[in-house]
Amino acid sequence: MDGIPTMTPAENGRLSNKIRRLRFEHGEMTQQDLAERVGVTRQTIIALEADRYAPSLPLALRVARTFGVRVEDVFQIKD
Amino acid sequence: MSPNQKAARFTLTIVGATLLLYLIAVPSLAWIFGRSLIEAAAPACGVFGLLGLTALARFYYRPVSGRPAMMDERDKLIEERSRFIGLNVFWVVWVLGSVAAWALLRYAAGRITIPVETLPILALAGWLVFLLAQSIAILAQYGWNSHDDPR
Repeated sequence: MDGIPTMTPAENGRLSNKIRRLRFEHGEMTQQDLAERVGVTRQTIIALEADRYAPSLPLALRVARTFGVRVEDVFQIKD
Repeated sequence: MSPNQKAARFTLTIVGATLLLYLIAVPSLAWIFGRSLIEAAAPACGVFGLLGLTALARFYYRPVSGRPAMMDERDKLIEERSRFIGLNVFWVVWVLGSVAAWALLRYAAGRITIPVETLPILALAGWLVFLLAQSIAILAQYGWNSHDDPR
């Protein structure tokens, strides 16, 4: 066993994102629509929006590409 | 609700029912066969065979209408972490249980070795603890009440 994977839930609120705002700016896209476009469950989108989950790099890229923005425009990390 | 959560709830139900049945089986067997509760405790362990039903939890991961069950990266991460937690708790219980059983028998009953009948009971207890820890870890990581924000 390799131990606990390196992906972790959002670390004590250090990671934040603008997914909810971007969804509304893109024709009030629903969580379900976004989930289907990026290939995850709606629960994962909910967890992302609530900063309870830090996505993998591929997922972060897919989310950014869906909104036509850069990853840094979607996800921010506090120093 | 994800397949992980459904499987965890199913497992907890089976484990809970098994423990309840065990608590009922001990006095029942003691009463039926006219033995003490301590004497009835070992044969009552037969109800732990019901734990085999937990294998049916895999049913929740079956493909639905030709498509595999929806398990994204977060589901797989939670599944992996929960298995990790379950295995670690299992080993702690196994080692502590073995040492405690030896210590109890050594100092209370004056025995130097653990009777061989103790081993399957320890294994069952360890398996039970693994299932409990894994299922609770799954439910805790998803959040006890899954938010279903409609926005």
